Amino acid sequence: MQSSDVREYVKERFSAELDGEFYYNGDYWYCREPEERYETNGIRAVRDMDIGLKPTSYFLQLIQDEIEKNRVDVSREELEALLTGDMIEYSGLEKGYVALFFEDRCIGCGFYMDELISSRVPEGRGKELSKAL
Amino acid sequence: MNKYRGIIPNFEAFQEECQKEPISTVRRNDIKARKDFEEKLAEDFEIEKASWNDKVYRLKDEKKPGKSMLHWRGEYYVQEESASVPVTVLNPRPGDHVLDMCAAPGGKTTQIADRIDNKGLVVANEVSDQRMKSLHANIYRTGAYSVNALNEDGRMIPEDREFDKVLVDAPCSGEGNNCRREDEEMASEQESKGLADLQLELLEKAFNLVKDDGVVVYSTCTFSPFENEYVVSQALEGNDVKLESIDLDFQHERGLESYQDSEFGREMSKTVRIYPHHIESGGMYVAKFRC
Repeated sequence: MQSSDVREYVKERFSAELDGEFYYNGDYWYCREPEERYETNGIRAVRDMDIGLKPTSYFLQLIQDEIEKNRVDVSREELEALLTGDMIEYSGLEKGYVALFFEDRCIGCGFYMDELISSRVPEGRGKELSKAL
Repeated sequence: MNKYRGIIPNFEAFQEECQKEPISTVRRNDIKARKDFEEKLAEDFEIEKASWNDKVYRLKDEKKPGKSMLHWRGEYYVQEESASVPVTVLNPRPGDHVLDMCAAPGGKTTQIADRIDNKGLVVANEVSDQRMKSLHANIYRTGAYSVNALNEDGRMIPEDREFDKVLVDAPCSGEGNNCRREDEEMASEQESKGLADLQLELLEKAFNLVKDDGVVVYSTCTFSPFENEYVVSQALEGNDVKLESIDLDFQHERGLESYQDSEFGREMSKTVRIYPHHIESGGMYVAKFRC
Protein backbone atom coordinates (compact mmCIF):
# COMPACT_ATOMS: atom_id res chain seq x y z
CA MET A 1 0.00 0.00 0.00
CA GLN A 2 1.35 3.40 -0.99
CA SER A 3 0.37 6.84 0.27
CA SER A 4 -0.97 7.51 -3.21
CA ASP A 5 -3.38 4.57 -2.76
CA VAL A 6 -4.68 6.17 0.44
CA ARG A 7 -5.20 9.47 -1.33
CA GLU A 8 -7.01 7.62 -4.11
CA TYR A 9 -9.22 5.79 -1.57
CA VAL A 10 -10.24 9.05 0.09
CA LYS A 11 -10.98 10.59 -3.30
CA GLU A 12 -12.92 7.56 -4.50
CA ARG A 13 -14.88 6.87 -1.29
CA PHE A 14 -15.63 10.45 -0.21
CA SER A 15 -14.95 12.50 -3.36
CA ALA A 16 -12.54 14.46 -1.21
CA GLU A 17 -9.50 16.03 -2.85
CA LEU A 18 -6.87 17.01 -0.30
CA ASP A 19 -3.67 19.02 -0.43
CA GLY A 20 -1.92 17.54 2.62
CA GLU A 21 0.49 14.58 2.69
CA PHE A 22 -0.18 11.01 3.81
CA TYR A 23 2.76 9.58 5.77
CA TYR A 24 3.01 5.93 6.83
CA ASN A 25 4.07 5.17 10.38
CA GLY A 26 2.08 2.07 11.36
CA ASP A 27 -1.02 3.93 10.17
CA TYR A 28 -1.38 6.68 7.60
CA TRP A 29 -0.98 10.16 9.07
CA TYR A 30 -2.28 13.30 7.41
CA CYS A 31 0.28 16.06 7.72
CA ARG A 32 2.22 18.86 6.01
CA GLU A 33 5.95 18.16 6.17
CA PRO A 34 6.60 14.67 7.54
CA GLU A 35 9.98 13.58 8.85
CA GLU A 36 11.07 10.46 10.69
CA ARG A 37 12.60 12.48 13.53
CA TYR A 38 9.19 13.41 14.91
CA GLU A 39 7.17 11.24 17.27
CA THR A 40 4.04 12.05 15.28
CA ASN A 41 3.43 13.91 12.03
CA GLY A 42 0.02 15.56 11.89
CA ILE A 43 -3.00 13.45 12.80
CA ARG A 44 -3.71 9.73 12.42
CA ALA A 45 -5.95 9.61 9.36
CA VAL A 46 -6.39 6.18 7.84
CA ARG A 47 -5.79 2.69 9.22
CA ASP A 48 -5.04 -0.36 7.09
CA MET A 49 -7.51 -3.00 8.38
CA ASP A 50 -8.07 -6.59 7.23
CA ILE A 51 -11.19 -5.49 5.39
CA GLY A 52 -9.55 -2.46 3.82
CA LEU A 53 -8.74 1.13 4.62
CA LYS A 54 -10.62 2.78 7.48
CA PRO A 55 -10.66 6.56 8.02
CA THR A 56 -10.45 7.83 11.60
CA SER A 57 -13.23 9.96 13.03
CA TYR A 58 -10.85 12.86 13.66
CA PHE A 59 -9.77 12.77 10.02
CA LEU A 60 -13.33 12.78 8.69
CA GLN A 61 -14.18 15.71 10.95
CA LEU A 62 -11.17 17.56 9.59
CA ILE A 63 -12.08 17.04 5.91
CA GLN A 64 -15.83 17.50 6.42
CA ASP A 65 -16.08 20.36 3.92
CA GLU A 66 -14.58 18.20 1.17
CA ILE A 67 -16.84 15.18 1.70
CA GLU A 68 -19.34 14.84 -1.14
CA LYS A 69 -19.99 11.10 -1.19
CA ASN A 70 -20.99 8.50 1.40
CA ARG A 71 -22.16 11.18 3.79
CA VAL A 72 -24.94 10.08 6.14
CA ASP A 73 -26.93 12.74 7.98
CA VAL A 74 -28.54 11.47 11.16
CA SER A 75 -31.10 12.85 13.60
CA ARG A 76 -30.40 13.26 17.31
CA GLU A 77 -32.33 10.05 18.05
CA GLU A 78 -30.39 8.15 15.40
CA LEU A 79 -27.07 9.48 16.66
CA GLU A 80 -27.91 8.52 20.23
CA ALA A 81 -28.83 5.03 19.04
CA LEU A 82 -25.59 4.69 17.07
CA LEU A 83 -23.50 5.80 20.04
CA THR A 84 -25.07 3.14 22.23
CA GLY A 85 -24.13 0.44 19.74
CA ASP A 86 -27.41 0.12 17.84
CA MET A 87 -27.66 0.13 14.07
CA ILE A 88 -29.94 2.30 11.98
CA GLU A 89 -31.57 1.50 8.67
CA TYR A 90 -30.28 3.19 5.53
CA SER A 91 -30.19 2.37 1.83
CA GLY A 92 -28.55 3.25 -1.43
CA LEU A 93 -24.85 3.21 -0.55
CA GLU A 94 -21.96 0.95 -1.47
CA LYS A 95 -20.69 -1.24 1.37
CA GLY A 96 -17.90 0.50 3.29
CA TYR A 97 -17.07 3.35 5.59
CA VAL A 98 -19.22 6.48 5.70
CA ALA A 99 -19.01 9.92 7.28
CA LEU A 100 -21.69 10.49 9.92
CA PHE A 101 -23.09 14.04 10.13
CA PHE A 102 -25.32 15.60 12.76
CA GLU A 103 -26.67 19.14 12.36
CA ASP A 104 -24.28 19.69 9.42
CA ARG A 105 -21.28 18.72 11.54
CA CYS A 106 -19.22 15.63 10.90
CA ILE A 107 -19.22 13.42 13.97
CA GLY A 108 -16.98 10.68 12.65
CA CYS A 109 -16.80 7.31 11.01
CA GLY A 110 -19.61 4.83 10.44
CA PHE A 111 -19.93 1.59 8.50
CA TYR A 112 -22.59 0.69 5.94
CA MET A 113 -23.51 -2.89 5.07
CA ASP A 114 -26.77 -4.72 4.26
CA GLU A 115 -28.82 -1.53 4.49
CA LEU A 116 -27.63 -0.85 8.03
CA ILE A 117 -25.33 1.81 9.45
CA SER A 118 -23.25 1.26 12.58
CA SER A 119 -20.93 3.68 14.39
CA ARG A 120 -17.15 3.38 14.22
CA VAL A 121 -16.59 6.34 16.55
CA PRO A 122 -14.26 4.97 19.28
CA GLU A 123 -16.27 3.81 22.29
CA GLY A 124 -14.73 6.22 24.80
CA ARG A 125 -15.16 9.19 22.49
CA GLY A 126 -18.71 8.08 21.77
CA LYS A 127 -19.55 8.06 25.48
CA GLU A 128 -18.11 11.56 25.84
CA LEU A 129 -20.28 12.75 22.97
CA SER A 130 -23.39 11.10 24.41
CA LYS A 131 -22.88 13.08 27.62
CA ALA A 132 -22.34 16.31 25.70
CA LEU A 133 -25.45 15.98 23.52
CA MET B 1 1.28 38.04 47.01
CA ASN B 2 2.04 40.89 49.40
CA LYS B 3 5.66 40.70 48.33
CA TYR B 4 4.57 42.25 45.02
CA ARG B 5 2.68 45.18 46.56
CA GLY B 6 5.48 47.51 45.48
CA ILE B 7 5.47 46.49 41.83
CA ILE B 8 1.81 45.93 41.03
CA PRO B 9 -0.06 49.20 40.47
CA ASN B 10 -3.61 49.27 41.87
CA PHE B 11 -2.74 46.42 44.21
CA GLU B 12 -6.20 46.41 45.83
CA ALA B 13 -7.88 45.68 42.49
CA PHE B 14 -5.31 42.95 41.90
CA GLN B 15 -6.04 41.35 45.29
CA GLU B 16 -9.78 41.61 44.79
CA GLU B 17 -9.57 39.93 41.38
CA CYS B 18 -7.41 37.12 42.76
CA GLN B 19 -10.18 36.26 45.19
CA LYS B 20 -12.84 35.93 42.51
CA GLU B 21 -13.81 32.75 40.69
CA PRO B 22 -12.03 32.78 37.33
CA ILE B 23 -14.16 33.39 34.24
CA SER B 24 -14.22 30.47 31.81
CA THR B 25 -12.98 31.52 28.40
CA VAL B 26 -12.70 29.62 25.13
CA ARG B 27 -10.87 30.29 21.90
CA ARG B 28 -12.63 29.53 18.62
CA ASN B 29 -10.68 27.09 16.45
CA ASP B 30 -11.36 28.04 12.85
CA ILE B 31 -9.81 24.81 11.57
CA LYS B 32 -12.93 23.01 12.80
CA ALA B 33 -15.52 25.69 13.64
CA ARG B 34 -18.56 25.90 11.34
CA LYS B 35 -20.00 29.19 10.14
CA ASP B 36 -22.77 29.08 12.74
CA PHE B 37 -20.28 28.53 15.59
CA GLU B 38 -21.19 31.63 17.55
CA GLU B 39 -24.91 30.93 17.29
CA LYS B 40 -24.40 27.35 18.46
CA LEU B 41 -22.08 28.41 21.30
CA ALA B 42 -24.74 30.86 22.46
CA GLU B 43 -27.26 28.00 22.63
CA ASP B 44 -25.07 26.25 25.20
CA PHE B 45 -23.63 29.21 27.13
CA GLU B 46 -24.14 32.87 27.91
CA ILE B 47 -21.31 34.38 25.89
CA GLU B 48 -19.43 37.65 25.58
CA LYS B 49 -16.63 38.30 23.09
CA ALA B 50 -13.29 39.58 24.33
CA SER B 51 -12.80 43.19 23.25
CA TRP B 52 -9.29 42.64 21.87
CA ASN B 53 -9.58 39.24 20.18
CA ASP B 54 -12.65 38.19 18.20
CA LYS B 55 -11.82 34.51 18.61
CA VAL B 56 -11.99 34.61 22.40
CA TYR B 57 -15.33 34.21 24.16
CA ARG B 58 -16.10 34.57 27.85
CA LEU B 59 -18.65 32.10 29.18
CA LYS B 60 -20.53 33.69 32.06
CA ASP B 61 -21.01 31.64 35.23
CA GLU B 62 -19.84 28.48 33.49
CA LYS B 63 -17.84 25.91 35.41
CA LYS B 64 -17.73 23.16 32.78
CA PRO B 65 -16.88 24.78 29.45
CA GLY B 66 -15.56 21.46 28.11
CA LYS B 67 -18.95 19.71 28.23
CA SER B 68 -20.41 20.44 24.83
CA MET B 69 -20.54 18.93 21.36
CA LEU B 70 -18.63 21.91 19.98
CA HIS B 71 -15.76 21.20 22.36
CA TRP B 72 -15.92 17.47 21.63
CA ARG B 73 -15.56 18.27 17.95
CA GLY B 74 -12.64 20.64 18.55
CA GLU B 75 -14.47 23.78 17.44
CA TYR B 76 -13.07 25.57 20.47
CA TYR B 77 -10.27 25.21 22.99
CA VAL B 78 -10.73 26.08 26.65
CA GLN B 79 -8.01 28.63 27.32
CA GLU B 80 -7.51 31.53 29.71
CA GLU B 81 -7.91 34.83 27.91
CA SER B 82 -4.40 35.99 28.83
CA ALA B 83 -2.92 32.67 27.66
CA SER B 84 -3.78 33.54 24.07
CA VAL B 85 -1.61 36.69 24.19
CA PRO B 86 1.84 35.12 23.51
CA VAL B 87 0.75 33.65 20.15
CA THR B 88 -0.95 36.93 19.26
CA VAL B 89 2.42 38.63 19.85
CA LEU B 90 4.28 35.91 17.90
CA ASN B 91 1.91 36.60 14.98
CA PRO B 92 2.45 33.41 12.95
CA ARG B 93 1.36 33.58 9.31
CA PRO B 94 0.46 30.94 6.71
CA GLY B 95 3.63 29.36 5.35
CA ASP B 96 5.67 29.98 8.50
CA HIS B 97 7.73 27.27 10.18
CA VAL B 98 7.13 27.70 13.90
CA LEU B 99 8.58 25.94 16.94
CA ASP B 100 6.67 25.74 20.22
CA MET B 101 9.43 24.65 22.61
CA CYS B 102 7.34 23.78 25.69
CA ALA B 103 4.10 22.76 24.07
CA ALA B 104 1.88 20.59 26.31
CA PRO B 105 -1.05 20.56 26.73
CA GLY B 106 -1.22 22.25 23.34
CA GLY B 107 -3.28 25.41 23.79
CA LYS B 108 -0.71 27.64 22.13
CA THR B 109 0.35 24.97 19.61
CA THR B 110 -3.19 24.59 18.32
CA GLN B 111 -3.63 28.37 18.35
CA ILE B 112 -0.58 28.65 16.08
CA ALA B 113 -1.91 25.94 13.73
CA ASP B 114 -5.20 27.85 13.53
CA ARG B 115 -3.41 31.16 12.87
CA ILE B 116 -1.44 29.65 9.97
CA ASP B 117 -4.59 27.85 8.73
CA ASN B 118 -2.61 24.58 8.76
CA LYS B 119 -0.43 26.02 5.98
CA GLY B 120 3.19 25.72 7.05
CA LEU B 121 4.70 23.68 9.86
CA VAL B 122 4.38 23.76 13.63
CA VAL B 123 6.84 21.67 15.62
CA ALA B 124 5.40 21.09 19.08
CA ASN B 125 8.07 19.99 21.54
CA GLU B 126 7.38 18.60 25.00
CA VAL B 127 9.92 17.10 27.39
CA SER B 128 7.46 15.12 29.54
CA ASP B 129 6.28 11.73 28.24
CA GLN B 130 3.16 12.02 30.36
CA ARG B 131 2.23 15.46 29.04
CA MET B 132 2.74 14.30 25.45
CA LYS B 133 -0.58 12.45 25.79
CA SER B 134 -2.57 15.62 26.38
CA LEU B 135 -0.64 17.35 23.61
CA HIS B 136 -1.49 14.59 21.12
CA ALA B 137 -5.14 14.50 22.18
CA ASN B 138 -5.53 18.23 21.61
CA ILE B 139 -3.74 18.16 18.25
CA TYR B 140 -6.10 15.43 17.01
CA ARG B 141 -9.25 17.00 18.42
CA THR B 142 -8.54 20.41 16.90
CA GLY B 143 -7.49 19.00 13.51
CA ALA B 144 -4.09 20.66 13.73
CA TYR B 145 -2.49 18.52 11.05
CA SER B 146 0.32 21.00 10.40
CA VAL B 147 1.73 20.03 13.80
CA ASN B 148 4.57 17.52 14.16
CA ALA B 149 5.24 16.49 17.76
CA LEU B 150 8.69 16.10 19.26
CA ASN B 151 9.51 14.61 22.68
CA GLU B 152 12.84 16.21 23.65
CA ASP B 153 14.36 18.31 26.36
CA GLY B 154 13.96 21.70 24.70
CA ARG B 155 17.62 22.48 25.40
CA MET B 156 18.66 19.47 23.32
CA ILE B 157 16.67 20.10 20.12
CA PRO B 158 19.04 19.53 17.16
CA GLU B 159 20.09 22.74 15.46
CA ASP B 160 20.04 21.38 11.91
CA ARG B 161 16.73 23.11 11.17
CA GLU B 162 15.80 26.78 11.51
CA PHE B 163 12.41 28.27 12.20
CA ASP B 164 10.81 31.57 11.24
CA LYS B 165 9.36 31.96 14.72
CA VAL B 166 9.89 30.29 18.09
CA LEU B 167 7.67 30.40 21.15
CA VAL B 168 9.26 29.77 24.55
CA ASP B 169 6.31 29.50 26.90
CA ALA B 170 8.66 28.53 29.67
CA PRO B 171 8.03 26.28 32.67
CA CYS B 172 7.52 28.67 35.56
CA SER B 173 6.28 28.99 39.13
CA GLY B 174 2.77 29.72 37.85
CA GLU B 175 1.91 32.54 40.24
CA GLY B 176 -0.39 34.10 37.62
CA ASN B 177 -2.83 31.24 38.08
CA ASN B 178 -1.90 30.06 41.56
CA CYS B 179 -2.82 33.43 43.06
CA ARG B 180 -6.47 32.43 42.58
CA ARG B 181 -6.09 29.11 44.37
CA GLU B 182 -6.14 29.21 48.13
CA ASP B 183 -4.40 25.85 48.54
CA GLU B 184 -1.46 26.74 46.30
CA GLU B 185 1.72 27.98 47.89
CA MET B 186 3.61 30.72 46.11
CA ALA B 187 7.11 29.98 44.86
CA SER B 188 9.99 31.12 47.04
CA GLU B 189 12.58 33.49 45.65
CA GLN B 190 15.05 30.63 45.65
CA GLU B 191 12.72 28.44 43.54
CA SER B 192 12.19 31.27 41.08
CA LYS B 193 15.92 31.85 40.75
CA GLY B 194 16.39 28.12 40.12
CA LEU B 195 13.77 28.16 37.39
CA ALA B 196 15.42 31.21 35.85
CA ASP B 197 18.50 29.14 34.94
CA LEU B 198 16.37 26.69 32.96
CA GLN B 199 14.32 29.49 31.39
CA LEU B 200 17.45 31.29 30.21
CA GLU B 201 18.88 28.08 28.74
CA LEU B 202 15.64 27.47 26.82
CA LEU B 203 15.55 31.05 25.58
CA GLU B 204 19.17 30.97 24.40
CA LYS B 205 18.49 27.67 22.64
CA ALA B 206 15.57 29.35 20.86
CA PHE B 207 17.96 32.03 19.55
CA ASN B 208 20.06 29.26 17.98
CA LEU B 209 16.99 27.68 16.35
CA VAL B 210 15.48 30.77 14.75
CA LYS B 211 16.45 32.17 11.34
CA ASP B 212 18.26 35.49 10.96
CA ASP B 213 15.70 38.26 11.46
CA GLY B 214 13.31 35.71 12.97
CA VAL B 215 11.16 36.25 16.05
CA VAL B 216 11.34 34.61 19.46
CA VAL B 217 8.58 35.22 21.99
CA TYR B 218 9.27 34.43 25.63
CA SER B 219 6.35 34.08 28.03
CA THR B 220 5.55 32.89 31.53
CA CYS B 221 2.42 32.87 33.65
CA THR B 222 4.15 34.15 36.75
CA PHE B 223 4.81 37.51 38.41
CA SER B 224 8.32 36.85 39.71
CA PRO B 225 10.79 39.33 38.16
CA PHE B 226 13.49 36.66 38.54
CA GLU B 227 11.65 34.50 35.99
CA ASN B 228 10.73 37.40 33.74
CA GLU B 229 12.76 40.61 33.42
CA TYR B 230 15.88 39.02 34.94
CA VAL B 231 15.85 36.22 32.32
CA VAL B 232 15.19 38.65 29.49
CA SER B 233 17.91 41.08 30.60
CA GLN B 234 20.42 38.22 30.86
CA ALA B 235 19.45 37.02 27.40
CA LEU B 236 19.97 40.52 25.99
CA GLU B 237 23.41 40.79 27.56
CA GLY B 238 24.80 37.57 26.20
CA ASN B 239 23.28 37.40 22.72
CA ASP B 240 23.03 39.40 19.51
CA VAL B 241 19.29 39.97 19.77
CA LYS B 242 16.99 42.97 20.23
CA LEU B 243 13.75 43.47 22.10
CA GLU B 244 10.76 44.74 20.13
CA SER B 245 8.07 46.75 21.85
CA ILE B 246 4.77 44.95 22.34
CA ASP B 247 1.53 46.86 21.85
CA LEU B 248 -1.67 45.43 23.26
CA ASP B 249 -5.22 46.70 22.82
CA PHE B 250 -6.17 46.26 26.47
CA GLN B 251 -4.98 47.39 29.86
CA HIS B 252 -1.58 46.08 30.87
CA GLU B 253 1.67 47.20 32.54
CA ARG B 254 5.13 47.53 31.07
CA GLY B 255 7.97 45.29 32.25
CA LEU B 256 9.96 46.32 35.33
CA GLU B 257 13.22 48.24 34.95
CA SER B 258 14.37 47.16 38.41
CA TYR B 259 13.38 44.99 41.37
CA GLN B 260 14.94 44.91 44.83
CA ASP B 261 18.69 45.27 44.21
CA SER B 262 18.53 44.22 40.56
CA GLU B 263 18.60 46.63 37.61
CA PHE B 264 17.12 45.19 34.41
CA GLY B 265 17.41 48.27 32.21
CA ARG B 266 15.02 50.60 30.37
CA GLU B 267 14.60 48.13 27.53
CA MET B 268 12.28 46.15 29.79
CA SER B 269 9.53 48.68 29.13
CA LYS B 270 9.19 46.97 25.72
CA THR B 271 7.93 43.84 27.49
CA VAL B 272 4.48 43.50 29.06
CA ARG B 273 2.94 42.31 32.29
CA ILE B 274 -0.71 41.31 32.41
CA TYR B 275 -2.28 41.12 35.85
CA PRO B 276 -5.54 39.33 36.71
CA HIS B 277 -7.49 42.60 37.16
CA HIS B 278 -6.59 43.80 33.65
CA ILE B 279 -8.80 41.36 31.74
CA GLU B 280 -10.21 39.24 34.58
CA SER B 281 -7.83 36.47 33.63
CA GLY B 282 -4.59 34.84 34.79
CA GLY B 283 -1.28 36.68 35.02
CA MET B 284 1.15 36.67 32.10
CA TYR B 285 4.51 38.13 31.11
CA VAL B 286 5.54 38.44 27.44
CA ALA B 287 8.73 39.59 25.70
CA LYS B 288 9.40 39.68 21.95
CA PHE B 289 12.92 39.33 20.50
CA ARG B 290 14.13 40.03 16.97
CA CYS B 291 17.16 37.85 16.27
